[in-house]
Amino acid sequence: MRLCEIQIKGFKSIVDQTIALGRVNCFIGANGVGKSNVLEAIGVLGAAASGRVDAEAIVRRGVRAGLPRLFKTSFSGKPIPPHITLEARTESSTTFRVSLLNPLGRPEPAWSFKTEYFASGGREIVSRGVRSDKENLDPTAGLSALKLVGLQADDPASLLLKALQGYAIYTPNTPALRGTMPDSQMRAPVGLVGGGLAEGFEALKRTVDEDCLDSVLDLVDWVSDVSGTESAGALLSPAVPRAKQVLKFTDRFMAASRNTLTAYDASEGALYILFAAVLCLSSASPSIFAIDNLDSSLNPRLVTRLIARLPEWLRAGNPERQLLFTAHNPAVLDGLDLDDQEVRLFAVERNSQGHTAIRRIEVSPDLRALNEQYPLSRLWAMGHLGAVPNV
Amino acid sequence: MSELRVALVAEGPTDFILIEAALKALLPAPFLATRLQPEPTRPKFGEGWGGVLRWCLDFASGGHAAFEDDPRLPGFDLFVIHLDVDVAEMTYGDLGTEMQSLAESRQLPRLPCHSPCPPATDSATPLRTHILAWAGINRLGSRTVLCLPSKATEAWLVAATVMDADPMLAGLECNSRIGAQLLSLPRTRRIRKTQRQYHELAGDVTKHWDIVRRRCSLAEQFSTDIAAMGASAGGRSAAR
Repeated sequence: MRLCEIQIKGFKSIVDQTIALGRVNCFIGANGVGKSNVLEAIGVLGAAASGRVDAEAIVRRGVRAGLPRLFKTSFSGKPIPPHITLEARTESSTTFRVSLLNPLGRPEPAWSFKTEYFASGGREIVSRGVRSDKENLDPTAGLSALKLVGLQADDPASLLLKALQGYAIYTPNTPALRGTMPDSQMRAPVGLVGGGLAEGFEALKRTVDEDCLDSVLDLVDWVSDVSGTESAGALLSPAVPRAKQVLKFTDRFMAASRNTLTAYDASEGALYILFAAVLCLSSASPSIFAIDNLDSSLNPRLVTRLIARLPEWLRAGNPERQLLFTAHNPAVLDGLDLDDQEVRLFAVERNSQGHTAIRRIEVSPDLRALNEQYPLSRLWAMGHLGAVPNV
Repeated sequence: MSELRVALVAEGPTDFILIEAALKALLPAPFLATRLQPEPTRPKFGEGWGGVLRWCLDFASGGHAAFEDDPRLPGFDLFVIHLDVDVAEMTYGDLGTEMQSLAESRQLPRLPCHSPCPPATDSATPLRTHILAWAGINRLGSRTVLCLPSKATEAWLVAATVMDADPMLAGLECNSRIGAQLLSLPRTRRIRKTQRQYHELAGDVTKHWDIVRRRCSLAEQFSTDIAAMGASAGGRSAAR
């Protein structure tokens, strides 16, 4: 089960956009155009799939908590729509759609389900509209999550709902990856900001084969080995706060007796690589997830290599796994194989009214001809692909 | 004095590791190596000998007389262009019909161009001319060295790591299947073609470079060329 289409209406800067997704989905664009809003809209839909949309449910999925006035589309000269509508569709014609309400003036802790539609291959599982809702149902409780109990585990409808429920937006930060700052949203295999990376990587090492591990460690060319350890006493100052387990790196250039260092002292780029690898490859990762600013702290050539490996890693972790990510480093584009229909690049821009517009960049004959002269990174920086600020 | 800056154009990342290891033995001071090819932002070039060929053809489009003259490659003290000698057995058609047509239209030198091996040098010599023709230059600049290690660069790895009686040493420079043989060794001796494992073994290539030179005629030639480059370039170069 994979999401093939997402429709977002009335959410933050997105008035009405439909996005056809692949396995690897890269969103580029100027700062503030609404890239993260796309990721967050799916997070809100994930909360709805779990039956409740409130601050706790959305924050747990990596969505920034916000008041209805910030969540609903608001543009000058246009009325604010009363609800947000979000829809996910799969290739097997399974649909989950909700319209969510929350008054602007006196916001409620939880959003109400104005409408809810859940169907698979012509079979209607939930169809709840304004007029059909006469049974004194709790309007803040989603019905689809309840119906899930009665569905077979391999039912496409069940798979869609579970995938949405598990969705999360990861935004790694260096202190959490180093294990010196706690992660308030811990999950398996890693927390939303990178907590528990040592445990996640150790678990991964136990399950993947040597080729797979090599494909990860090849990207960190200064190390000969990486492992998790609970006894970092000799490697780490007592003044440094630490998690139970810390990552230990073996530096291939250093003298054998003094060639180990922990995540606290290691290059942050290595930590971001391991973070992405664990998320893509681990069986415990969500089947759909997003990474905001995947290119953080990475050298351009390294990020190109990392991006090129994502489709293979995702397939190895789970044949149905999907990734959405945002990036700012042009070198990201050079790692995308746009001839692979499963790898998709989206330009995110604001139109003249300020609405977020999302456009898939496909390899046209013209673009291919240009690409023979210039790498995609250059074409983006030159403005040929759009998705650049007019500054 | 600043460290020597070395630009490497290689068939693949593991070749880069072994050539860098050889240079560590040949250059007396630490240096800064930059891999120009394979280069991920130019996916059209690809890896392998096709990547080296395309890199050279791209260079030729600039119309420069030597790598040292290209303003896109500023500040390098040494250029090393690598190609395995098994390329002498290839055809341009092996890289696709587009390359075949390009080779015909640009009148690139004929492939295959191999001679009986041993000696490996008989096939390596015409390839040297091929590289010049691909790059559109008549002669190498004073800071450029061609590196044609054998039919497969892994020969240097074998030469550096096995005992004298090891059967893999027989016809080593003429064995294009050496990579597959290293992979099929018993588990404790198996060498997989990964950057991680090559990094681990690269130290042996540096440490035992004298043995590699003795066992591989083309390693000896590369050593001589690096030394000659040092002699002709004078003070800036630091070759032994």
